[in-house]
Amino acid sequence: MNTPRGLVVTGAHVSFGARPGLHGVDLSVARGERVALLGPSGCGKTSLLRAVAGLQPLTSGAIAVDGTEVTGVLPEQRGIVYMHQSPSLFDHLSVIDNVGFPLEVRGTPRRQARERAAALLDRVQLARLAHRASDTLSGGQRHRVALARALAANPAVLLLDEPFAALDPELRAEVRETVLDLLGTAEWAPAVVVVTHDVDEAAAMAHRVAILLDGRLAQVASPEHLLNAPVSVAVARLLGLPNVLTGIRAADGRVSFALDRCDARGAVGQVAVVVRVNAVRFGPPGAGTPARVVSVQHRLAGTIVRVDVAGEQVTGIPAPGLSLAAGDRVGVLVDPGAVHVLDEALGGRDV
Amino acid sequence: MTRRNVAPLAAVLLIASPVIVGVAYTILAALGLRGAGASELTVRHVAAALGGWDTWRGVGWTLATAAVATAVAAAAAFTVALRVQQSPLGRLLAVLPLAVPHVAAALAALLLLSQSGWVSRLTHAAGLTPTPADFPALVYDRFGVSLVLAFAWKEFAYLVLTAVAVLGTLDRASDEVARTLGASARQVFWRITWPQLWRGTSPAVIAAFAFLIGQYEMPALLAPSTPTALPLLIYERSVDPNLLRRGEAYVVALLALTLCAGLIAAHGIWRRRLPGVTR
Repeated sequence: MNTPRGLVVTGAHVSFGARPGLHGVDLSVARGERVALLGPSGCGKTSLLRAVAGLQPLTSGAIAVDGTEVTGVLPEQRGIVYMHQSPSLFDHLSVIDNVGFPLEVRGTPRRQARERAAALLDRVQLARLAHRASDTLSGGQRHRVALARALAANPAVLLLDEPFAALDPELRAEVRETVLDLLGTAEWAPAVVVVTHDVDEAAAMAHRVAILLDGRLAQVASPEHLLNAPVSVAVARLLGLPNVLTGIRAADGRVSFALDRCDARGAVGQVAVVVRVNAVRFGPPGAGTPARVVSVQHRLAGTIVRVDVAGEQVTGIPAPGLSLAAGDRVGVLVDPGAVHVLDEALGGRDV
Repeated sequence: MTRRNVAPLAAVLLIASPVIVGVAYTILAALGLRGAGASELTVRHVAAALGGWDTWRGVGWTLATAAVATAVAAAAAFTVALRVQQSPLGRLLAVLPLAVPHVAAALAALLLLSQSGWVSRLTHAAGLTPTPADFPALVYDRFGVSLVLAFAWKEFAYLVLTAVAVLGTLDRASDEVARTLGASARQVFWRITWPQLWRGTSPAVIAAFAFLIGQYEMPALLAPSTPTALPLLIYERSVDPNLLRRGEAYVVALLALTLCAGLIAAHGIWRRRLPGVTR
């Protein structure tokens, strides 16, 4: 029987006194796979990472790495490296000694540890700074050193807790590319869990995204699937999907909502309808459901238009060549294949 | 020099001026140009002070007692600081000796540790010694046991205060990261916490050591007459009825000053060579 390679978390419960932290979280991450952990502040993302790393005891549940249970094992013996939001470099050590640290504490002779550290620094384009004091590095350089140091430990599991949160947008993209480049190398194929608040970052970095809400995993799916088919209104809202509309399901299974009608079997009554922004097109009046433009935003990725349709706000993109302004009348067309129906009513809103 | 620098420099000069004037006067007096019996430029005082065996025994004894006391105080302070850093009451209790004057601490040591002191009486009462006088001589003894203990007790509080402040600045996340990188709790202490704690507190440890070299009240009450501690040697020479010997006091004072300055300079050089020390 093959033992699963990578990280397996089973029924993880963590509580802080009377306050619950995590409720029975199950998560598997294969070697070479990257999973982004996404959720609002205080939902338990960091608690989960700390529990996996052995820095926070589990109330119940189990953690296994490459098929071996490590639940009660000391952090240094788990084969799991945890990277904080800040690089947490050891500022009393030089850059090369920081990177060589995991090797030296495992008994690698200093000379060999330094050779390996130098090779890793070369991979993150910092070989020229090997003998600098680590506190003289810039923010981006510190992150890259921290990553090289983490990989020097050759972990089976790498936990990244909001690794780019402290960086400005330009550096963030640069360091993220470095991380993806290094993690993409077959030589190092750890199971990676990345905590982030940023949906775009999660989608860019991860093969799968796990949504954590109130200490429970609400959904684990590929970024594309998640954005197309969130399992709940809460997940859709966390992902920042703007078009979460109210719908009504009739006895024949037809769901009516502000833009269209579609087939979706289920209980009769109120439902929520999620429509991707790029599935909503605004054309000239008469070309679809009538609406009035509320606002127009010009972004690098294109123009985003928000319209009012029978009292509901809908966001989409204008038809090619169509220039719109607030107050204009338009017709709304929806790609029926991009409509996702959730069997729950939107809180506090009437049909 | 910019105008912005003038005011702070003037303030520093004003504060340092008594030391500068004092050192200048001491140099002149050591060379026979000032003070009692001053006449002409001479190295007679220098030769007499530095050629005397008493001076070098005093130097050695003073350095040894200061070094042992500082080491004991630092070891105790670091151990305690690591345990009380999260406890306001613990921190308060640990720094209480700061409020006790050195002379009071010396008197307390005398009352407690002399052969007629409380500890000797308690050991006698407990049947550990036939008479109180059989208690080992810890005061005025040639090893300076009571002096070292009193020094250490006083400097302990100062070093605890410093160590707690340094520990408060350390990034505790580093310890956790180090654990997951494969370091045991012991390795984290010796490779991460200790180097940073030592770097942060070493200036205070050096200051405590330098202070003890020149500390007068405690050796006056607890130290033996031979070897003579440097501060006592300076005092004895400075009140010598033979006015011609008083110049030697300035030479010994300059010797003590040189020792401290040398120590501080060596510490500065060591720190400059460390990676990651903010200079």
